[in-house]
Amino acid sequence: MKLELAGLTKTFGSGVHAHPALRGVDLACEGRCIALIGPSGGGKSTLLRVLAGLEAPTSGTARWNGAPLPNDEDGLRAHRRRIGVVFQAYNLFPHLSALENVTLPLEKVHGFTPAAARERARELLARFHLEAHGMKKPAALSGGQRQRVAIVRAVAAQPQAVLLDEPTSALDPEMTVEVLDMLAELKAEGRDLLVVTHAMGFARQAADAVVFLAEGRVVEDGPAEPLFAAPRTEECRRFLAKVLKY
Amino acid sequence: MCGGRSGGQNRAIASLLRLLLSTVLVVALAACHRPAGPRPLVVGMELAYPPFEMTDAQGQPAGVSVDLARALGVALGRPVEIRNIAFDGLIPSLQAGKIDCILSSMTVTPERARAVAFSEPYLHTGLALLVAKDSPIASVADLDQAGRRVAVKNGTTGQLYARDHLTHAQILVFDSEAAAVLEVAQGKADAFAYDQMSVFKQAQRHAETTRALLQPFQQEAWAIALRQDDGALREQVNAFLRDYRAHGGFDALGERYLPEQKAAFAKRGIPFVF
Amino acid sequence: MTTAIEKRRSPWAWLRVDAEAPAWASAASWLLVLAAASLFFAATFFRLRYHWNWEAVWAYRAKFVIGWLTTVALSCAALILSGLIGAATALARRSPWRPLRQAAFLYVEAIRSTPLLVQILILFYIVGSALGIEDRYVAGVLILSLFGGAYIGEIVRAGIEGVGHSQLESARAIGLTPAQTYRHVIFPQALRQILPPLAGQFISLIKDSSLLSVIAVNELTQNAREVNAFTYSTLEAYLPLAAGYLLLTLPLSWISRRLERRYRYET
Repeated sequence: MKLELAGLTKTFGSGVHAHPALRGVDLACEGRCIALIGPSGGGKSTLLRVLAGLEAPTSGTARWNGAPLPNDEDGLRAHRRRIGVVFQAYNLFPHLSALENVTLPLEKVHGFTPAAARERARELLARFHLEAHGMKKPAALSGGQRQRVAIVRAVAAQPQAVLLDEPTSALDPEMTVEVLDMLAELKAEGRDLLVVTHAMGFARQAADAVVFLAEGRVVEDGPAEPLFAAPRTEECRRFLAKVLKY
Repeated sequence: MCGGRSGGQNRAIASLLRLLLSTVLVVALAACHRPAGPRPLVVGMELAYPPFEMTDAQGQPAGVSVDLARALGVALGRPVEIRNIAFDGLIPSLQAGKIDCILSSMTVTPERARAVAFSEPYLHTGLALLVAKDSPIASVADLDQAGRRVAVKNGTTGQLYARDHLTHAQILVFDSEAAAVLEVAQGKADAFAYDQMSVFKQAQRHAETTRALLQPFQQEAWAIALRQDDGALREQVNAFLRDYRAHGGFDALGERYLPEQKAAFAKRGIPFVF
Repeated sequence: MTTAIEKRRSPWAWLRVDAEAPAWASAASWLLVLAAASLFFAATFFRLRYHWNWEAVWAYRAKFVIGWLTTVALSCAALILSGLIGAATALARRSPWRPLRQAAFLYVEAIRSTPLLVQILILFYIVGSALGIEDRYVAGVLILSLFGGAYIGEIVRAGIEGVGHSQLESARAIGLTPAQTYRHVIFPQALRQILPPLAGQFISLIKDSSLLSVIAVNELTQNAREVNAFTYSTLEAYLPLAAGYLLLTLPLSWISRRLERRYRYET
């Protein structure tokens, strides 16, 4: 996955209520798995949403694997269909079973036949040890299982990349590991991942490149291990010292 | 301490019961209280039928029947209370004892006579038709055809006549005279079967859209209705009516409330009602 | 020394709703309540010394049947049409086009702020005549549907807006179009919220159809009033009237409860 961002700005609201979430993000980054880290309110989620085609930037350019990100709603919808997104929570539709949650986009968005969609969904759920939960509604699943089903839904249609916004922030440590294990597997399979996360250990181990975002700007970026071992900027150093304290 | 209700709850229930009991006692005592003096004569009528039963500008009952009722009260030496009740609810109210008599321009019919007792008639009129201005209807016989729509008011002799004699027409039953007249004026009904005097008045009021066929196709007599077991009151009412007529009371009512009708009927050679 | 703590249960404890009540408690309690109600009504009728005259009303039974069938037909037509109008209204109120939103708002407020009786009279005698709608049954169905549509529109809108915002995000993220989102995500979930008040509204509509008697629509209430006028047997005419409406509304309540249970799931 190759990201080229120049002067990317996103402001919510207008006039006195304007909130600049991204203030001119410049980035040139490449890697199979890219991790976005940084303090709360720094703009990580906003950046992910812009790259996912859920928000249109106020100004600036973004190129995704060499092609510019579309600006109009139809183009954005086409872009959204090519990638998978997983949010921190409330991914799944509560009125559908786990299986149906996975087959819905396959059938309605990607044109699978119902039989083919079911086949693919079962295959993936089994692959990630979720086949026993296929018939259950999300309310009957644990948080970790829900997130894993959401990830299955995201990868089912063979997307170009999977974008995850703090996938484990709402989970307890044990479920966190379940989900991160799954992400590591996906990466090993060859999938492109962009993860906003607070799980520093995972970022250090699994990410190829790490981007540190604070106050709407890229403060530091680079390969994972060197950045964690010896952060170049003071801000980054302070941040890492704080989150890795316990 | 465990089990059962708490002391506080018990006290609450006890005080609620006491309140309930005292309310019931007060209501019962109030109901038992009887005012002193002669029992009022409760007269039921529907105040929607000018100039017989209507309300004046202050909202008080007024009209021919109201004057007649008051005169009856004077003759019997009892204060009169007028109750405004929908026409089709008058006989049930009389039967239930809520009113003592009905003085509401009610026609004597065999069916009604099975449910109530009638005094001697005090007025003679007939059923007439209100039709649209340019309507081809010339008489009630024209109405007994398929495709004709006849408007009637619920509970009136017009409705009974339509039910029994106009079997081919579509009968539209309304609660109010005004609605039935509106239907004829707008052409949604071919005719409104109602009593002569009202038909005359409505035709005058809606002169651009309606006209009256005043020759009555069914003769009717109006009387005062009483409970069948109330023979004593019936005697008193009949005596009053004879007396009132002898002293010119009805002529006076005619002059006061129906001068136009009197003139119009005289012109067309139709005998007047009183 | 320990003393066993005994829970003292009052002799009326079996009437309470708790896990320790015996299995027959529910049926016994129903018996008590229904007996009390029956006793109350029997006492009131007895006090009235009412002379029951069922023969007179029995002679007019055909009128009751015709009236009931007419009410059924009118209600069914109005239910369907008002459901459609309501759904359209709800979508219009959420439309991105401002005039559409405002028109829908105006419609809902006008209907909800005026009595149905007034609407019937104005729409039939003034608007209907102007538009040339002469048939009072067609007009009656249209008026009832317009009336119900406004209330149903609000119910549907509340149901739609009750679907969590995060769901719409999710739907967008997986690439669903707005139409697909409505069809596969919003409506299935909104249905759960909508069903109970919707059933209540439908039941109201059935009862409100009785007001069409003012424009001489030959439905159940109109016929009962006529029978009362002919026979002077008020209660004997109106009790079958009540039974007639119950016959329509009780099944609807039952269906609504069943649907509620089917769609019930935790969120």
